[in-house]
Amino acid sequence: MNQHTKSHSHFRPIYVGTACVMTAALVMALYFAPTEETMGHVQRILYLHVSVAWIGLLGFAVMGAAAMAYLFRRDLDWDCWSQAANEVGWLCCSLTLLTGSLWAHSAWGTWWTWDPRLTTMFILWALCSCCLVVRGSIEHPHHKARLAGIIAVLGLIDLPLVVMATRWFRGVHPVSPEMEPTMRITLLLNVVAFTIFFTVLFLRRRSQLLSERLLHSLEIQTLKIREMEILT
Amino acid sequence: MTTLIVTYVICAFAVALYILRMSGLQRQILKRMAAQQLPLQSSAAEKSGD
Repeated sequence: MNQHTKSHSHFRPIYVGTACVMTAALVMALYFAPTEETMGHVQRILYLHVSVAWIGLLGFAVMGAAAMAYLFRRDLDWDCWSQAANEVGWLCCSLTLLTGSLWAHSAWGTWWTWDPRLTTMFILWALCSCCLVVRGSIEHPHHKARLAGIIAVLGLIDLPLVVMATRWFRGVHPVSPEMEPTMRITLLLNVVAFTIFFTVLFLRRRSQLLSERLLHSLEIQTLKIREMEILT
Repeated sequence: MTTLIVTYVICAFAVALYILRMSGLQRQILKRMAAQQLPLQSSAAEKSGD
């Protein structure tokens, strides 16, 4: 058995555990949680919506913190953390807007409204998208990391606005609705399960980005050595 | 009920796409490692069918 296979078997319990927790959370959300009287089955979108929204915010916070660390230390390892958080955060922010829109169509009769919570979340998604575009369009690793880092740090201003939007401004988005204990437990389980799942995904992506970066520098070194061999 | 199913299916699809992209990138990394003649990972690249 080689080292690669060994490292995979080392992570297998984590993957199996994550899959089990996710299955339990989905079964709870779709089957065991009681059906809400007014909205019916559509209310079950809430378990998914809240979970991905939480990961989206967490992802953006990690991205901002890692970007700040990069801007202070100029160490590209921190940019790998930031990029991994950016990708996972963007995915979750997009899913938040999508699930929210589908829920809003059933609850409010409209796909979108410029409610403070929705608007601030949309700004967050736009900033996440900006960072991804910057990362995809600039070649130099430090230039890319610096610009994406500045956007991420500026975006941190929007984070408390998203969290507190329903309390600070008047809007239609629910604050924290009354729930039955089973619903509350289901919601909590879903949040925990999604946090574990996306953390595993984030850590895998981060290690992938690290090895990609190391490999890139190794390839450049090999090229230089070959050039020198040809010249001599 | 249809809205609920559509929502969960779209989310599962999006996450599956991201995981597929990640595994594609992983295969590329293993190929590049094999090209650099890194002994441990080159055997892993062969195992992955590349």
